[in-house]
Order: sequence, then C-alpha cells, then structure tokens
Amino acid sequence: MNNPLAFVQAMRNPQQFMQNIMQNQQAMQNPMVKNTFDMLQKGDNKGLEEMARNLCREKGIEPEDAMKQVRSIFGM
Amino acid sequence: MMPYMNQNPNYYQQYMQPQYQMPVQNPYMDRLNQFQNQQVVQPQVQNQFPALGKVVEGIEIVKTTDIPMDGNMYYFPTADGSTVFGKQWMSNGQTRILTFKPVLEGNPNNSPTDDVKIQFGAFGEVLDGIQNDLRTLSDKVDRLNKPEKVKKGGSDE
Repeated sequence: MNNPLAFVQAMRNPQQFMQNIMQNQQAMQNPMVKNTFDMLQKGDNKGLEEMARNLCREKGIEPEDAMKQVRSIFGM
Repeated sequence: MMPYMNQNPNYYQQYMQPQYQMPVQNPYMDRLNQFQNQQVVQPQVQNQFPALGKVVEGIEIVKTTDIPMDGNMYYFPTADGSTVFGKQWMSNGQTRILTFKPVLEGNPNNSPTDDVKIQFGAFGEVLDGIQNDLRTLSDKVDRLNKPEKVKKGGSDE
C-alpha cells in the first residue's frame, strides 16, 4: 500500500484493514508485520511501544522527538 | 553442372526436415497452460536468488545502509573478500548484523586469517634469530674491544 490515500481510506475501517492484512499471506510472512499483529491481538501495548522506539533508533530518530511530532499532528 | 542442384548447403535441412502437424487446440487452453506453468515456476526462481546488498569497505557502511523491512537477510561482501556482512530486520524492530568469515576447504579450523598469523609467526621467528645473531656479534665486538683497553691500561702503568 504505497498510496497514502489508499492507506487513509483503508484506515476508515481499521478492523477490516487488519483482517485484510492478516489474510494476506505475503504480508504475514514478514516477521515484523506478523509480530506487530500478534501484539495488537494480544493488546501488548508495551511491546508495540518498544518496537516503535527500536524503529526510531534504527532510523536515527529520537523516539521522544517522534512522539512530539505525532502529538503536534493530532493537536495533543 | 546439374540444372536443379541447389548451392545452399542448408537447402536439405530447410526443406527435408520432418514436419509434424500439431493438433488444433483451443488457443485459450494454451494460455491457461502457460499461466499455470508460470505459477509453478515463479516461486522456485525467487528462491534461487538470495537477497543481495552491495560490496562495502567496512561494517560502518553496513550499519548506515538501509535495507528493505521484509525480514530477508541482505549480504554485503567486502571488496577483498575477507568478510561478508549480513544485515536483517528482526521482528522487534531492530536490525542485526552477522559477520561471515571464510574458512579454507579441507581444514575447517584453518581460516585464511590463521594462515596469515602463521606466516607472521614464522617471520617473527626469523627476526628473533637475526636479533640473537646481532647480540652475539655485538658481544664479540665488545670482547674484542675490552682486551685492547686492558692492554693500553697495562702499558700506561
């Protein structure tokens, strides 16, 4: 899903979006996607946050700065 | 010269090949068969080619190089062939880098780096021998010099 508009449209119904991805075998072969959806299903918020922090660090972004940016986007 | 003789050596090959008449088939069936064959072959081709990175000079370049988040390992051989680095995204959102070192065939314990160490070890032994020879020579020179001083001292007295 490279088109951001398609992503926004898909996120109108997150449950359907999640089901579609979980039924997509190619996507579920990706260990990161699989782990993310496993954690989402279990409600493992701590694990998801840790994963997001790891991704930020790998990309050379300070996790706190990323959080600030996301908060500002949503007016929080 | 014979009137009907053809000069082209491929003449007989062109015209004397046995011709088989293919049975008439539905063209859509052919396409369907082709499509089914492609479906079977494609995954095998994908498995044959490992995901490759690029030739690098050191691990620092591997650390800074981005790789696709598909979970596959991407390989980065060094230009001199002494090491191959493998970089891979893990399921927790971190990357890991593995270092592969070559091992000589036949003697798994004898890697090229060990070979170099052995060569340097032999060179060190030779150096030690030369140093010992130099020491003995300098001792001999010292010994040769000392009696002269004694003699000179004796004559002065």
